[in-house]
Amino acid sequence: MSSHGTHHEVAEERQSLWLLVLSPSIWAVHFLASYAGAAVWCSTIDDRAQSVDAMRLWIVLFGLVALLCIGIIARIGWRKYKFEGGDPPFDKDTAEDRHRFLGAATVLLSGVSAIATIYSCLSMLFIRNCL
Amino acid sequence: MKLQRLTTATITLLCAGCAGPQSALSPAGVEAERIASLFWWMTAGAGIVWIGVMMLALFAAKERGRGERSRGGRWIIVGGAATPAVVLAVLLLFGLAMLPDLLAVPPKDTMRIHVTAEQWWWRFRYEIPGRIPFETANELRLPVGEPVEFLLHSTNVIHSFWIPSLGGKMDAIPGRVNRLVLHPTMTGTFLGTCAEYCGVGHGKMAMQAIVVPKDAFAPWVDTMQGAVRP
Amino acid sequence: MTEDIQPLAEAASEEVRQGQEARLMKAWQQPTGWRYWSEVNNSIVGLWYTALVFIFLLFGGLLALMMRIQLAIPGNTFLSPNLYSQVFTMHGSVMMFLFAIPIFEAVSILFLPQMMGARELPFPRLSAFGFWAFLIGGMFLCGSIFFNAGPTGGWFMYPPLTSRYQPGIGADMWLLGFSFIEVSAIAAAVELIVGVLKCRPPGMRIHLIPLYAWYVLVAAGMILFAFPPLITGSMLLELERAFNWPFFDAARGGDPLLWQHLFWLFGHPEVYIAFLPSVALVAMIVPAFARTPIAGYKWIVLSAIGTGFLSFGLWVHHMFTTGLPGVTLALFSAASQSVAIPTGVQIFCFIATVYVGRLRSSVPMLYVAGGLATFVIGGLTGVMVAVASFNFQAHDTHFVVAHLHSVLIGGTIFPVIAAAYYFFPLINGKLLSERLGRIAFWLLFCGFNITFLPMHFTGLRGMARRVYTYPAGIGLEGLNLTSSIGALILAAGFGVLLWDILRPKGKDADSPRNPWEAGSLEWLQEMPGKPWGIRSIPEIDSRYPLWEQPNFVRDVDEGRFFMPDAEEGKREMLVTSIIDAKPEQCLRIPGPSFITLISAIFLGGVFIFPTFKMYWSMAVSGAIALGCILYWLWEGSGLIPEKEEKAIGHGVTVPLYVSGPSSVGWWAMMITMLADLTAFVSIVFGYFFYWTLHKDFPPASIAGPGWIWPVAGLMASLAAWALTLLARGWNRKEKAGWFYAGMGSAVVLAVFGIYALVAGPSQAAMNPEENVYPAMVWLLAIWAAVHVAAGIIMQLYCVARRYAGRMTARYDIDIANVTLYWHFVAITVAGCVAVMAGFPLLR
Repeated sequence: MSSHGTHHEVAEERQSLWLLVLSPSIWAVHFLASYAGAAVWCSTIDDRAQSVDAMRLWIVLFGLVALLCIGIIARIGWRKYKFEGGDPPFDKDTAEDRHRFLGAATVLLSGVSAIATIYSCLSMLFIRNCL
Repeated sequence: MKLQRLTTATITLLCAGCAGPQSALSPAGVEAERIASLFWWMTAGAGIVWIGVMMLALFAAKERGRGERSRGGRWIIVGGAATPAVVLAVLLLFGLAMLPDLLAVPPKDTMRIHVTAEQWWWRFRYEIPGRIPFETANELRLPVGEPVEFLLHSTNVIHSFWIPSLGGKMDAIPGRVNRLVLHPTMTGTFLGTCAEYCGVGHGKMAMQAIVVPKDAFAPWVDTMQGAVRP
Repeated sequence: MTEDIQPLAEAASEEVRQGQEARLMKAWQQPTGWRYWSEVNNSIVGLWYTALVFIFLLFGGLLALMMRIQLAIPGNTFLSPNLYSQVFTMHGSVMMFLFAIPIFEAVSILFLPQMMGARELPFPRLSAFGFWAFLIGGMFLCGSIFFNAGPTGGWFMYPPLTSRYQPGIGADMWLLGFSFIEVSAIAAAVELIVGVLKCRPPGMRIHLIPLYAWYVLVAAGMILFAFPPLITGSMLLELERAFNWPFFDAARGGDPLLWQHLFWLFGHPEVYIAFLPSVALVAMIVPAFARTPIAGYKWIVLSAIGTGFLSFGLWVHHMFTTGLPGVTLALFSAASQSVAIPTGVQIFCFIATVYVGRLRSSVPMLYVAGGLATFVIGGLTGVMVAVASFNFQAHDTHFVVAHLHSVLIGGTIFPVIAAAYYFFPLINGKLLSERLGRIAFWLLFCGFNITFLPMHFTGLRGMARRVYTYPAGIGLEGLNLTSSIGALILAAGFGVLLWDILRPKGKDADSPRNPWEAGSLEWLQEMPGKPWGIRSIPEIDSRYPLWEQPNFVRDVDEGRFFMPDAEEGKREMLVTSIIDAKPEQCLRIPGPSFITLISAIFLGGVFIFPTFKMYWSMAVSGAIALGCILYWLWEGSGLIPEKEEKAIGHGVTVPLYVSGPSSVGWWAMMITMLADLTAFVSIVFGYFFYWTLHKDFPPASIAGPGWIWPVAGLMASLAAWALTLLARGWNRKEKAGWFYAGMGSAVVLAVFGIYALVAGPSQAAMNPEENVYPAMVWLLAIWAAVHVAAGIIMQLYCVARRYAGRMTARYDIDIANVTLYWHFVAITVAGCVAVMAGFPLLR
């Protein structure tokens, strides 16, 4: 079937479901930090009409960092997905198929997390101030 | 914008059932026009999407045993993920592009009306520069073609100030002062209502905005001044 | 790595098999007579639960019908304004709290074990307790309207209306009654998460679990993080109502908007918690009728998890008109639109499955089709209201009413009815009527659309929400009358449905086994089913074992898999590992007991008495409830088995007793404490929310708790925690003297910790009625103190268990779980002190 080394890589002890939810968690961290940051920023300035370009820039920059991290996770997921060949659907009762499935799901969740993060950054395009 | 005016005018003509003195779909103000136009575009898009999805589903149901898995997979990727991602991004940009204007501070010399939401009626206090402030109850008179800045107050519970034909709504929250700017573009009488549940009288907390030509507004202010003791 | 187990090549002899079945029957037998109500078996409790939820659905529906009759013509006097307020408040609250969430819990308790080839859920008495709490709380709340004392604040209960303008007990009933129900919902969520992760058949690796299990896992996880903010908010609002603490009073530093944040942090995920398990039912039904495995399994997993996460970033879209900055509106608009992607993906998966398969027409698929058609309309109008600019017109109008009913009726109710027709044979072995099902469907579908499609225009033509009437002559009469007629048609549809469910079916033929020829495990059930659930625990090789594993049904029936017997006459189930479902423990689960009902009654008293300001009764009821729970744990949990291991078949032996991170009890504690920590984080959120509102927070004129007492409290609590941790080690190493000394000292230190935490605000004479700042500090201190106090009770419990010989070095689940609890106490106290003492130092 597979070599001992491969068994080791897909053995249950080395797996967890945390990778699956890491990308959405990164989206959540970026989103909450942007919201909290904006709320605090807008509450501390005196004139809500003044320009908040710096804050917008931070949100976008932080968003790019988040996208980078999501990309890394997507890549890890991709490698699991493509583990030793194997085609979808990954529905056989083997550790390898379970590994590929988790990788594929990680890639998909990274995709939706990336889109949601991009949307957050896009939303900063038109807002100029705290009104 | 001209396109918005044209869209909403056409559709209001076609959809005779949409007209009304308290209707967001027969706009009489700048903000209401923009939002109504957005609504009709979104409705058209939603209609196309719904019909498309239903047709796809019907087609799928008829293809007994002949569908290929890879084709189905492509539908999931293209229909379920890629197309919505793009369409929603475009919608997001259009919708947000409108937002700053709806929230902007009006020019310095804009007429200001303080709205105090009571249980269950509306107190309007006009503050016109150089004139003594005066109050009306449940009835607003506004000059056509001029922006008006409403500052919303409440000393009791949360209410929401809404004149659909003129624009969107804004809440009156105890402890805060919220701002709503409206630009009436047509004369007439437009009805409004409270749009946040505020107790037993919520359903009857109506108001009306009478929009008059500019040269009829100043004389009205004079008569109101006559009613206010200096 | 375990080898893939094959079923026994030959069945045991007929005699042996009959012996096995007799022993299984004896262990799983339902009690008769009045003792029937002490049953805890998921099939029975699930049935009661589902029936009760349907009763509440009908009650909520009747309330809606009353509203539509009142709104049929302008100026109607069918309902007085006050009664109308009670009716719409109860309609929304009943539907959201007594139908939408409980239906998923009820159906899961009923069917999830069968879908996973298990005999039970891991905490049967907890399920039963949840049911009784639901019954008591639900009856209390619904009963209120019959006494004209119903809550009138809307299902969303905004202050200041509900904090200062509604004397009387209605609002208190809402706050306390629903908090009780929410606690029972969290209990169910704990059970379902542990059930999905740990109680699967061997070989059912994580990528082979039924899609219903994925959705339930996500929805239950969402409950953990969504319900606590509401519980916190309700606590704040009740404190303001009962004791005049000014959380929502602007004059004393409070803000009504904090309630809105906390409520919608709950309220938005809530609707997805209602929707996801219902669409999960669709994911089980469609493959059966398309006669093919689901297309896009991993996409559906994406849908479930993606929606679960994104739905927590939407809540402010209910507050777009409150005057928040455009930045905030923009961010939440973005997130609100993004959630449409995972929501839509799963619909395309269903369409693709139908495309690839050979669809058979049937009543369940009719409801699925109608439901999805309606849901898509709702999803599209949802995208529309997510756009902040349009929201300014649509918010708080009947447009939103149309939207929310489209998604909830299309996405939750129609799939549930589909499931009723589909799963009915599993309940008593009979089928529902095809003819009546179709008639009901067309009445419901047409009734729904006639009611709600016009409402999109009713709203945009100026009709706000929660109004008992509307002005004549502005074009709303025709639309409202149409909606009301539609409501009558909808009601007729429900009537037909109700008849089909309740009509006597004694003369009907029994359903054939697996009447829909589906592939998933719940259809192993014989018609009618046996009380033990599944005859032997199968080894799984595929997502659709009934389709793809040869001779599968025969092998299960003949006991050729695991655990075909109940040798010691006990109810047993298999606990497996999370990722690859390897057998880890043979878990003995309790049989019938009335302690669940009794505990629910007295815990209910803790929530019901304060509604009437009977605080002494509340305290007594609480003490008795605590006693009941301790008795329950003492007698029924962490029982030391007569042997270390048990053979479950095929040469596999597993322990009977496990403690620590592999055990279900440990997971239950961990999950519950995550919910508890979320409630604490909500309180901290409130503190910092007030800070963003006021330039001067903490206010310079009000003395704070200082840092000396809080830090002393922290040190004492941390010492207690450390000693508890060490005591766990001493217990394991059989150092009894050290164990007792350590735990005793821990208790003393913890008591001092409570004193010190409370001394901070107390010594500074902080008056919580004066301003929101002292109120928040007191709340933080009391929250931390109460958690330490509960920790003390747990420490004393461990000492008693060891002393009585029920806890030993090897069998130490009690202190393992208590230590886990204390980790969370340490975090909570540290957080509390950091905020109340540390933050003012920073400023």
